[in-house]
Amino acid sequence: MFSGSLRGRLLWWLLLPLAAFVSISGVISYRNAQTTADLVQDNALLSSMRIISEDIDWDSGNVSIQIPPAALELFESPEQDSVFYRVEASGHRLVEGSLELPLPPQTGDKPTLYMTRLEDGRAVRAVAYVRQLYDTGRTEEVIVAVAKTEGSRDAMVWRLLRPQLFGEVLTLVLAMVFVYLGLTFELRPLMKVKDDVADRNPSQLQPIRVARLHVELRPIVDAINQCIARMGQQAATQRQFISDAAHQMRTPLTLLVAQIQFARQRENRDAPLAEALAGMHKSSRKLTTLTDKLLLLAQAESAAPVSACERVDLSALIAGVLEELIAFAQSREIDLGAELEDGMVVTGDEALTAALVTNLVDNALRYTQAGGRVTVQTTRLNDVAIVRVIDNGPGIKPDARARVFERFYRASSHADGTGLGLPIVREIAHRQGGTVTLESGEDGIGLVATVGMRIWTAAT
Amino acid sequence: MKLLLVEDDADLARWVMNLMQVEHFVIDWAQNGEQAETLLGLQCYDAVLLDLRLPGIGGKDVLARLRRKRDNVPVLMLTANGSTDDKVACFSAGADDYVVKPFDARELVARIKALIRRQAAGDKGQSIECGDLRYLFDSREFMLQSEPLPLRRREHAILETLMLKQGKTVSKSTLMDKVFTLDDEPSADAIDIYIHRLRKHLAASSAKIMTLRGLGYILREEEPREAFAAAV
Repeated sequence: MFSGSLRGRLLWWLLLPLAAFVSISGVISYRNAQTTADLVQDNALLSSMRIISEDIDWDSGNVSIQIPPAALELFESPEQDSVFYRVEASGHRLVEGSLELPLPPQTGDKPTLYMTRLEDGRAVRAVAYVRQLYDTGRTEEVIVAVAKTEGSRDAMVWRLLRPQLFGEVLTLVLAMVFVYLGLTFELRPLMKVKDDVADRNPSQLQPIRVARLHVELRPIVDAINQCIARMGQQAATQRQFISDAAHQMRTPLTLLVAQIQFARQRENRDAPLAEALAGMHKSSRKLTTLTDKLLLLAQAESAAPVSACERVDLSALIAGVLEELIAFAQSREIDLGAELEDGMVVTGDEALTAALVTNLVDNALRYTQAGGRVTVQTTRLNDVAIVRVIDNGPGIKPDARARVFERFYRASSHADGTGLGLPIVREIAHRQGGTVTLESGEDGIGLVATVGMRIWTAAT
Repeated sequence: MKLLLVEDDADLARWVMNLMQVEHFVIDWAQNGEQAETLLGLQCYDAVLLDLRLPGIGGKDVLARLRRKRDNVPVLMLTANGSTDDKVACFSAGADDYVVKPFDARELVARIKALIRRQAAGDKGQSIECGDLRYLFDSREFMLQSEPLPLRRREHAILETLMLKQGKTVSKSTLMDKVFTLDDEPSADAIDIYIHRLRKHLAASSAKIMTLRGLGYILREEEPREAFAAAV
């Protein structure tokens, strides 16, 4: 998960050594706490043992002891450790205490500290010591052993260790949080660059601004900018190619049209020849339309990004398009009209938007029967301008609706079309950040083509 | 009337010349910008057909130099693509009009004639035409196929408004403003009636009043059905 993230990788770089450091320091702290707790426990055991051994005395020739309460009170703790003692005179005679507590193998004048286990398996820390008791020429060796379970000692280790561990873990967490925050904050310019690059559409080719970027990031951004510049050059070359192609294709086409027109102007009594010429005239017109649309499609595809951000008065534009098409509508006896909402201004390229509306209305006029009705309607939905072209023609079957956006697909062979109208509409709509959908009209009659466009805002 | 055609494609030039000769124009041909400048210096033309893209000196440069010499011969640009950029470039260089290749011979001839007429009239613009309907500015009369068209006052006002905005949509409310004075009782239905009558008057004319439902009325020349066989 972190392998792809700079932030993650930097965190790992910091986290791993820091964690290692914290572990080592934790182990050392644990050792220290143990040593301290052992020392305290051993001191208590020694003190207790001394108090007990002080009280060993002779009683009618025998060694006897009254265990003083102080010797046991030393061990009082919330953990309620069990305390064991064993006082043995020479010849392993038990004077006081319990035989449960094992004695060390060797005991001497010095107190011996040792770990041992009781018969029931409990581990205890013990101290044993041999005291010489003298009495009228008799020497008695009394072994005194005191032991306790390690509850309070373990609790102490933990008490000593806890603040240390807490501090270390806190350091680790704080380090991570601050590194994360710092990186997030410092990586913001990089994220901005990322967003800037990610949000671009393919034709948005202005360079990324280098100002206010870290020195380390500049080479990357410079490299991206160089790449963008190369892409820009390529796009410009492509546009130039399209423009040149337009010129190159139109010149012979113009020639052909001029030749046919000239031929048709001559007095000609040969009827089949005249018919052939009329056919050629029609074909040349078709070819012209096809070339126009291909070029329009190519232009739409390579449209410069700046051109897609103009302020376009939709009502005026639609009125203009309808004025162009009214004669065509009239010739097909179609009632052409508009229901326009006032003050609709959208963001886009004026020429391309006009081409979009023209293609939609032209399609509607072309496929609607004589005596039909075609209406262009605009409405506003939040920040989207909706343009609907509604006709009462034959419509398009639902299964063919997706396919009509494919180039050269023709839903019907009845009318003269190029098969490029709707692909152009979609290309332009998408280029301008809009949408286009087709559906049936009211009561399933006709077709409604709906285009969504971005409402103009001063900010865009 | 004498024309100069500046076009680098020899074949196309030949056929445009053929077409123009049929229309009884005298036409000279220059294959490049240099030749065009020489010819323009020597001869006096009624109109120039200038290709936008020429080898060597481009069409725009030829036009710019011509205008710098204060020569205001009407210039019609021939452009290969109908992009807005190209159109703007044509007009900003000082062109009077443009046609997009491949052009229709009838359209080309009509535009040349209109240019020459405008130039001859010195922009006094004695009349404007829509098909075979002509409007005379001096007398404010309409002529249909060279015969005066008798119209009643309000019919005349409506047709005049439509004629002056020929090819553009005129809304019903604009027409009402033009037709009714403050004293009149304005009525939208009345406009429909006048339009209906005007359509009867123009039944024989190639100029037609077309309705753009929801927007208004447009006066324009009816085009033969054949023109739409495979149009745009």
